[in-house]
Parts: sequence; structure tokens; C-alpha cells
Amino acid sequence: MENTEQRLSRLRGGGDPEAHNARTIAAMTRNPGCVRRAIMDAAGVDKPAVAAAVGHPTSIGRLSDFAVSRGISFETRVKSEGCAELLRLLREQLGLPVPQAHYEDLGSTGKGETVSGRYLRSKAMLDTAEQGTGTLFDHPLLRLSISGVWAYLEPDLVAFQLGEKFYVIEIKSFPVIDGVADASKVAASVTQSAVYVLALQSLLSEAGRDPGLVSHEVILVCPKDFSNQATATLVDVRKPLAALRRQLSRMDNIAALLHLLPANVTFDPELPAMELAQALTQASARYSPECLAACEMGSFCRAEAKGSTAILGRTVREDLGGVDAVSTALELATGRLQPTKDLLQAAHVLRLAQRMRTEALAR
Amino acid sequence: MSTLTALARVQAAHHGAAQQICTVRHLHVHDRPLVLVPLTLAGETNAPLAAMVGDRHGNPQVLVVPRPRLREQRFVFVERLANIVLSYVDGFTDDVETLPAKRKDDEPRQRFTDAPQVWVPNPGGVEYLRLMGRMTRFRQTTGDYAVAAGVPQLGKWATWLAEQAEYPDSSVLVAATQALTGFWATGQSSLEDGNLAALMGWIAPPAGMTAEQAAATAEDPILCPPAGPATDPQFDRLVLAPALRDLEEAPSDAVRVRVQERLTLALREQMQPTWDRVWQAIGLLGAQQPGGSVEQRWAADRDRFSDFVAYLRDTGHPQAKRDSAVLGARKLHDMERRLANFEAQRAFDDPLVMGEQRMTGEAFTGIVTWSDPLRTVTLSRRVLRPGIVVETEDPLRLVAGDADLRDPQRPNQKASILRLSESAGKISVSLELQGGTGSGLTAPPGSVPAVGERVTYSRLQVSYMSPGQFPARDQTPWTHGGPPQPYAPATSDAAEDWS
Amino acid sequence: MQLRAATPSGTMDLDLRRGSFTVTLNAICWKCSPLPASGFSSGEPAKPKTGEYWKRVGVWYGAGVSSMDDLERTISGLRKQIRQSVASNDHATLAELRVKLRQAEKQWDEALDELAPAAPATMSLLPLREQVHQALTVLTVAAAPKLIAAVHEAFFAGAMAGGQLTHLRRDEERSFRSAPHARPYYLCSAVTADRLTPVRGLLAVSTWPLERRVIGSLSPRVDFLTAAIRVAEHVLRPGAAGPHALQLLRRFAASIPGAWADADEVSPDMVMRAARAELDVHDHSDRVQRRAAAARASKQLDESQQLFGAAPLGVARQAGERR
Repeated sequence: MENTEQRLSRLRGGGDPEAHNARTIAAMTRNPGCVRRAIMDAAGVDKPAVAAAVGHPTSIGRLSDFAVSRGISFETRVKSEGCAELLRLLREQLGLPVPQAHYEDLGSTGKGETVSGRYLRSKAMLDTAEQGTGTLFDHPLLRLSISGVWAYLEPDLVAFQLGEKFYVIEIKSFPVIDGVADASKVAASVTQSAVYVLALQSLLSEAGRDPGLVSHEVILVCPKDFSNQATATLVDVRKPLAALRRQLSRMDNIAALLHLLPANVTFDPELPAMELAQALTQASARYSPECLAACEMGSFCRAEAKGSTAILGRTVREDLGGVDAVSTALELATGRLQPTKDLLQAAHVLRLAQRMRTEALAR
Repeated sequence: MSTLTALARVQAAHHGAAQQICTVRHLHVHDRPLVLVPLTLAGETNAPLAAMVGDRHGNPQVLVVPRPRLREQRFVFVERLANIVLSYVDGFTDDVETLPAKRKDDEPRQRFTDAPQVWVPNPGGVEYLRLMGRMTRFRQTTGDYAVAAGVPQLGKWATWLAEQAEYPDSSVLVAATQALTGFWATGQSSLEDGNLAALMGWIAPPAGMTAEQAAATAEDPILCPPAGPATDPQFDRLVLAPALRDLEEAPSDAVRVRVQERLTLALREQMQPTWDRVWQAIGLLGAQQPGGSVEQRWAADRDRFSDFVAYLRDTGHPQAKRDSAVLGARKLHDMERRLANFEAQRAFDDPLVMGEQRMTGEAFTGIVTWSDPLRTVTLSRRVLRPGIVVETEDPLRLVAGDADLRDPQRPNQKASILRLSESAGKISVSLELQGGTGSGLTAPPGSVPAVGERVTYSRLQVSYMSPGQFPARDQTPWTHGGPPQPYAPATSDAAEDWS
Repeated sequence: MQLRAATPSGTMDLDLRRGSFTVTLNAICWKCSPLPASGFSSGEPAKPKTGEYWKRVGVWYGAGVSSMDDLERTISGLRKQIRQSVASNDHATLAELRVKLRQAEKQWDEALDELAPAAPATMSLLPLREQVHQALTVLTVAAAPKLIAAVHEAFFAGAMAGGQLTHLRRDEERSFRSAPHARPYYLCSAVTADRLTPVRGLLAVSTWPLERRVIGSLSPRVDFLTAAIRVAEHVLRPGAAGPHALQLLRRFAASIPGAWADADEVSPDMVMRAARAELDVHDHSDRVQRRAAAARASKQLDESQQLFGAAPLGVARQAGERR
């Protein structure tokens, strides 16, 4: 009898699962109702490879090198000289007391150190963090279990002892101009930070400490206006945190979803394209246009959803009274199709709309 | 979004062609617009990389910042952009018309007979101008970080344009994608409509391509470079980065010139398709019949343009970084009033827009089945109150007693509902009319709808825009922070880094 | 300007429309920089006679331009193909194309070098290690390459390329191991207080006491404040308050509470006072930690490890296992 882990391994075509990072974990919360995505993420399927194999190559998450190097240089700047600029911000904006100026580098010491070794070092260091011994932990290594597999995560910084709490610090290079930042970028950073908060809570739990020591606010550090100077803002992550917990627990129960799949189905990117595409359709997707920016399979699912009202967007679908197919909507509107009972109201509205359009455009 | 638009999307998806959602265009389309296609360097805050700009399709100016990380070069770019934009804007300040005063004691007003209209590809272009304005309007033309006079001037204009774009009834700064989706519905989602190339693919697919093929092609950044301001990361890595590195390391001016030419060519290739599409969009929309109120709204744009020119000639301080309490309240008030008027005007001009009101039951269209133009009622004296009955199939949600309804064909006549009766799926609405019939007890012919006439009544109305009652700046109450500090140029603004 | 010059394959027309072209040619002409060997049959290029010169410049420049044109066409063609194969996920072709691109770019760079006049010497005349030593002596604490470069630029003539500093430490370590104490000083590492391994990205001077080169959890802050004081002291020296120096001081001042009142004015005295005040808060705990770690290091580490740090645990264990 095959267990869940073996089944997941076979699903991805053997080999190691794709490593998750904060971005991919954050993206999981975007369309929680999608079975296809839940299974693929749980199995750690190489989604970009699968998408390319079925003729829908993707560029999700691909950043311009300029953006990457600017991000690195801003982070370096904020952290230089023992995080001098960051200390200034924490003192000025969040009232960090002057004696708390400790700095611990938990970054990799180079070759020879294993990931789990690094995690243990971070854990030991954060566990012993007490009043007066630690303020800033640079690049600690955290981990989160994604359907039974450890995903290792590296937040920019963790600060301790702001009001006796651990704070996740996220350094981003998008600007805050006159106190306002791009809402979508803030939202994306907040969801990513929530991943770190969850991982830090799980580290403390493992160490037998109170996970409530982790603040549900994160400190977002961004360039101020058009300069290289940094500014810090506290952002509440409770909502994305809750969404994340829910989705991860769902993926922990992946066995239930796996039963929906025929036993011979796998999503091995090495399969012939036709066979792979056929296999994918065995796991039902819940496509919406937002998927295009959040999931590597988005373009494939859109092609699959052709002819459905889902490709027109969620609000359009709602305005159509939840009618699934483009052709059904049209036939209901023109009266060629007699509505079933559940579509009576929708049909009435659609016929009215059809009459208005015909009337207005005929004149 | 409404069921009407949703249905149009369904039709578009089914027929493979964009569908009209308006019968007339509600946007003013200038006969000499200025088009701006900007590109920025990824990772930096609104760092200009290149722009294609001009008021003639066949004659774009291509501006390139060869070393976009250098502050000085950015300002050289802004200066060149300022020359083009400012001379375009100045071109509308020659011809003036004189209007009668609004109030009795006022002087007759003057306003320019035309105003500028700037087109950008998408809302990102509007944001680009807003940030460009914020970045440049506080710059000083003297002192340590002096810039050319055109730089802060462009900043003030860019800020003004971006501010106007927040109002849906203004046409001085237009994002092409928004202008197009205001008129057509496509068979894709509004998210994909944000891609100008995909949107144009649905509206006017290139010869030999279906709309779907054109939209699919539009998603390939190699075949269809993005409309900006962000560039394609692949382009950055494979073309831009090597060119910038070569420029950085160029050992001589000769080499630099050559690399720069190569870079300019590459950037031009990225912008040209978008440039062409924006002009194509202008042509397509310009060819549509304008709505009846377009002219009037453009006149209001000209009023605001004239006011801003006067402001610049007078004090001309850069706009504040944040609105003061009074200004903020005033803007909110204006926004609500202008939005309501715009909605009403559009519905009056366009049966499809009125259709949206009818769908929600806030308006109805029907045929007059009974009309009594001589009906009178006795209030303090006998007055003329003609009565009509209208039969409609619309899903009416109005009730007896609802008053102040209007038919766009008789904007000065108010109607109130006396009774509603329903039979055989049709609703008969008895209406009492008031106004628009002269002062006597007989209504002039045509002033009351006749039997058989098709009428539409809604609650929408176009009202006079009262300026609202707001305290003067220096009278701002302490509850709202008291009077704001008067503007004083700060050296820190001039010194502010540009990432 | 139209220019007709003889080339090995006949004659060649050059249209020098741009002023910059002319200037460059004149500069080359005037400087008599060595011409590329490719334009000549063999051996060292002899200094040409004035009369012959234009002809040669023409030959060489013309040849360079035309081959560069070809190369650029090749390069842009290759980039296009690369983007296409990226789009179609054709990894095999992609790798091949990238190799070709790199070759073409390399040839282009070489052609560029041939066009290049000699680079002007604006760098400091001192060897790099001595410049670093100078800067570190000002700071008296371990510092990152960026800060070292900034200090050098602020107080000594000429810019320093921070990137060159990365190899420096390894070179120094090699030199020390092959001939210990052959030099009066070495540029060495700072070491972590807990594991005595080298601290990433910090450089120090071998003649400093070990205690100063050990970095505990408060040391980055303490060293930052010490460096601020040292920079402020240096600025106060006659003639040292140049724009770069003041800018550097301003950078320090910005991150020390009470070190500045006005963003435009920076007072060295104020910076010193504020930095000392904060230093008083941290100094004792830092010193205790550093002293203990230094004592441990002098017992556990050999001479070169004391300078360049112990190998990281994992590496040490592997080395041990191999033995």
C-alpha cells in the first residue's frame, strides 16, 4: 500500500520536491479552492517545467536584474555598519532603547554548513534571546512544513525586544513617497512576511517557548521618497496569517484530495505533452484571471477554461448570475435556451440586458 | 461593471470581436493630442530610461537616458521632456474667448479656446507623470542643486495633469487602455485588458489574425514589448544591461556614441509598437460620434486649464506634497459632484448607459399611452400640471410618490409618480409633470409628451456645480490642524536624492 | 569630415560627422598610443612617422569599425535568438547560443580595447594594500570595503575601487602562510566572538591587539561609534574637511542619536560627543565579551588562525575526517 508521501513523490515524477520559498508559499493563499494547485504544490511538482512542457511557458516571479540588484544594494545599505541605519529607524520610529544595539549574523558561514545545521544555529540563538543579549538577528534560517516537507526560509532580519516581542523585519526596495506606498506591493510583502511570522512561531514552539512572543506586526523597511534613506512602518499581518494557516492545514490533509485522482495519474514534466495535459485535467482547477499573476499553471488553465465565463473574471461571472458557459449565457439571453429552475432569475436578467443592448444599438 | 457590460463581454468572447458598450463616445478626443510613451529603469523609483513623445504620429521624439542611474542625466532627460511638453502646452495659451460673468458683479471671464490633451498608454503612464511631478516640482533653479527652469515647471504641469486624471469627467490626461475599455468590451478579463496590445488585438486585430490570436501574441514580450513604464525583464537582461555596461566601460567618446546609438535603437524598438497603438486608439475613438455633453465637459477642462495657467503666472508655487485639510475637503466635494454629473450626462447622451440605470430599476423607458397636457391642480391657485401614463416593460423599482424624475429630452421638466399599476407583465406609470411648459395654463405644443411617444424617466440630473462652502486656507479650524504653513522653498527638497 | 584612407583591400571612406570622432582621432594621433597588432604584419608596432600616421589610423580605425559593425549585428542577432529560445524553453539551443554570444561579446570587447586610448591615471599611486592600511589606521576598527573606500576617498587623494578589496585578504593570508611576519603588517580578518571564524566582509590590521579584532554581538555598534569619533577627529585636522569627508561624517551623524541638529550642517564636536555618550552605554559589556573571546582565541588558535580566523566548524570537521 502506497502512503501519501510515496504517492506525492510519484506525482511529481520522483526526485526531490521543488523547494518552496516565501513567495511561492504566499502565493498558495491566493486561490485556496483550486484542487489542481493544492495537489501540485503539496507534491512539490516543478510547475514551471510542467507548464512549459504543455506549451504554456511562464515568467511568473521573474524579476529584472536591475530590480534584483537594487534590492540587494538597498538591503546592504540598510544593514551596513552593524545595521546603523536600521537601529536609527527602530530608535526614532519605534522607540527601541539605546542599550539594545546587539547584532548577530546568522547568515551562512559558507560551504560545509548544512541547511539543517544553520537552522539549528538560528534556533539556538533565537531560543536563548533574552533581555539584553540580542536585538537584531541577521538572516536567521527558519522552516515551515509544507505537507510534510520542510521549506527553509530566510527573512531579512528578526528583531527582538521591541516590547519583549520578536518582530520580523522585511526590507523592500519599493519607495514610500510622502507616507504612501504602492498598495499591491505592500500587500505582497505583507503576505510574504506572514510566512516568516508563521515560521518563527513554529521555531519558538519547537523550542518549547510561547509562539505568542512573535508580534503579529512586521516592520517594513523601504526607501523614503526618491532617496536611498530608509523609513520603517509597522504593518499588521493577522489576516494573511490566518489565510496562510488555513491553506497549509488544508495541504496537510492532502490525502483526502489525492483520493480524487486516479491512481495512475502523475504530473511528471518528462511525460509526453499530450499525456501530461491529459493528466492535469484529472485534477480540477478553479481558474480566475488573477491566477495568471499568481500561479505558473495560470496560462494553461485559462486555455482549458476557454468558453467558460470564468475567463472573463469573477465580477463578470457574478453579473451573469453565475452562468458557467459563454454559450449558455448567450442562449439564455436570446431566449434560445429554456432556463432550468436555478437559472430562472439569471435568465430573466440576461434577457432584459439583451433587449436593452439590441434596442440601444439598433437606433 | 454591470450585467449589460458582462453580456457585452460574453458576446465579444462568442463572436471573437470587441463589442460596443456605449453608443457614443464620452471622451473628448483632441485633434492635436500629445502622446507620451515612457519607460523606466526597473528597481529604481520612477527613474526615467526613455520616452517617445510628440504631437504627430509620424514624428516622435525619442529621448534616452544613457546612464539612468546618474542623477544629472535624469535631469537632462527631464529638461528635454520639459521643452517638448511645455511648448505643446504653451501652444494653447494664445487664443482667448470672453464669457459673460457668472454673477452680476463679476468681471466677464476669459478662457482659452483650447486646452492640451496628453495620452499615455495605460494607468502606469498616469502614475509615471504623478511621480515625475512629485520628483521635479520642488527643484530649485538656483543654488547647490540647480536645475533648468523647465524642470520644476514640468513638475507642476505633470502634477496638474495627474490630478485631473483622478476625475472621470476630465479629458486632459488620458490613459489609452481606460479610454478604450470605456467604449468597448472584450472577450477577456479586465486584467488582460490592462495590456494595451491585447486590448487592441480585440478591438482591431492586425490583418490575418483573429482577436484571440492577436491577444495571445500580445502576451509574448518579444513579439509585443510591454507598453511600459516597466520594461520586459528579459529585455533588461539581454539587451539593456549589456548596453549600459558597455556605455559605462566605453573607453572613448567614439565608442560611447556607437553604443548609445545601439541603445537608442533598441529602446525605440521597445516603444514604437506602443506608440503606434496609442495613435491607433486615438484614431479609433476619434472616429466615434461624440456624446452631446462632450463639448461642455471639454469647456470645463478649458476653464480649469485657464485657471491653472493663471495660477502659474500669479504665485505658481508647486503643489503641496499633501493636500491641506481645506483643499482635501474641497476636492472630495468636487469629486462627488462631478462624478454625479458625469453619470447623468452620460446616461442622457447614451441609451446604453441609460440601460444600466434601467437594469437596476432606477430608470424606465416606455411608450406614452395617455396624455393630458391641460391637466391642472389647485394649490394656492390653479396651476398647470400635465399628466401622462407611460407603459413600460422595465423592472421598475421606483414607487408612487417618487419625485424629481426627468426625461433627457425635456431636462427642465420634472415628473413625479402618482400611481403604478401592473398587468400582463407591463407596468403603467401615471406621472404628473411640472415645468417646461411656459407660465400660462396651456402647454405649448410639444412641451408635453404625446401619446405614442417614447420617453425615459430617471432620477439622474445634471445640476449646477456649487463650489461648496469651505473656509479660506488661513481660516482652517484648529480641529483640522489650523491654517497650513505657507509654501517656502526648502533646500532639502532640492537636495533630495533621486534614488 | 570625409576621410579617404588606404586599407589592405583598397581604399575606404570614412564619414566623420561627429565632433567626438575627430577628437578621439586627434587624441590617438597626439598620444601615439600603440596601434593594434592586427593592423600590422608582426612584432611591436613602431611609432609611425607623422605623414604615415593618418593612413594607419584610417586603416586601423576603418577595419575596427567595420568588424565591430559585423560583431554588433551578430550579437544583436544572437540576443534575439536567445530571447526566442528562452520563450520556447529550448534549453539545449539556449546554452549553445549563450556560448556564442559570450564569444562574440568577448571579441567585441577586444575590438573595443583596440580602439581604446590608454586609460588616464587618476588612481592613487600607492599600492592598494597600503591605501587600505591608511584608511584602517584612521578608523582603528575593522571595517567593510565600502567604508574603507569612502574613508580613503575622504582623506586621501583618489578613488579606490571597492571591488578590488575582495581578493586582498586571501592574498595576504597566502603571503603570511608562505613567509610569516615577512611584512611589517598584514591585512587580516576580524573574527567572530563565539566561534572565532572570520567575519564576512570585514578587514582589519594584523598589528592590532586581538581584542580589537574580535567581534561580539555589540561590537558592530561599538566599532561604528568608534569609527565615527575617529572620522570626526580627522575632519578637525587642518585642511581635512573636504566635501567627501563632510559627507562621510554626515553619514555617521545620521545614525547616532543627538549627533546632528540640522541636516545641512554637521559639527565634528557634536558627533564626537554624541558617539561617546552612546559608546559609554555599550562599552563595558562589549569589552567583557571581547576580552573573554580574545583570551579563548589566543589559547585555541594558532598564529595564522588568530589573524585570519578558524575554519568554519563543518569544514574543520571534514578536514579532520580526511586526515
